Amino acid sequence: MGECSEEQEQQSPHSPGTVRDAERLGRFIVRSDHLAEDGELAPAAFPVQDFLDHSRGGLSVARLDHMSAIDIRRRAVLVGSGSANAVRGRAVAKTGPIRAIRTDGARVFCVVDDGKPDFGAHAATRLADERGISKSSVRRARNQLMRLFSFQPS
Amino acid sequence: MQTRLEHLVVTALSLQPRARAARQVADAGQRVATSGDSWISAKPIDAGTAAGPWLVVTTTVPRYSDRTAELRRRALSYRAERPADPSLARAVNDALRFIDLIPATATLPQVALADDGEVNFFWRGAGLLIDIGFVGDGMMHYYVSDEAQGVDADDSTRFGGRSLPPDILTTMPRRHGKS
Repeated sequence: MGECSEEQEQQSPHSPGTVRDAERLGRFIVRSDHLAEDGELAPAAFPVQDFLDHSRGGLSVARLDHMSAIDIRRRAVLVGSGSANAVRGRAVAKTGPIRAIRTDGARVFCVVDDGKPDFGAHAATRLADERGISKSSVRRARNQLMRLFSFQPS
Repeated sequence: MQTRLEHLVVTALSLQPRARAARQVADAGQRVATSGDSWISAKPIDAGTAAGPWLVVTTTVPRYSDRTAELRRRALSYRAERPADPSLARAVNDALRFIDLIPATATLPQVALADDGEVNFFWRGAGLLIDIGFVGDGMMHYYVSDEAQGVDADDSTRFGGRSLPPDILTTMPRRHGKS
């Protein structure tokens, strides 16, 4: 299988299509400790295990360009409902720069459509090559990823 | 480590935690107990009787300093969030031992709980990122990037709670006025 071949074809019948490089991706930030004292995102907002544990399906992101303002607000309420805190805002990044992260010439992350029946604009950011990657190496990669996201308060 | 010698009549009622602990030491016929940030040891001033008054020695242990109290409180609060999660309980224990190892000369990191149950510590500054995770597997997982010192390292190392990797110790930001 080629490098991130899943990106080339629509993966979910619930998705609006493959994820384009120009699309904005968002993660809803609920916990106060996922924001650093300087107002920037904390590493914990991007769980390492989301990349390492296949059953977690990758790092969940929302395809913001396929959601209306009301969709985004509803989604934020839903994400925050399992927490004692309200959603504080969202971390936003463009897809292209995420796909451009490379280590030793090889892609690090794939971004694939992963629409759910109740959330068609869902996408997943996964490791391009999960084999043999260590927890500490993933930590390095997630910090490369984190730098591409900027926080937008609610 | 600071050591103080003091005379306390431990049979006297007192709301002071140190005195209360000393009284418990005396009542139980023990020699050592702990209270908050201190070790308490006690022995009768008159060696011929165990009735007191007692000589109480209070040794302040720096690892329970006020400086790290908030960090410790936050780490402990994560265990309370998911009391049925044994991995998180182990991660929090490792996190507390990690806090104990932060040198007095270093600034304190920020701490956060990730959705996957990792207790994460990080320092971030100009050209600096130290990202340390405990997941309850007895390991310390870290990534350090310090442009000024030319350090760029990641590793997973067994964490015994006694020492920190040199990559982390040498890159921890220093407190102003501390060397």
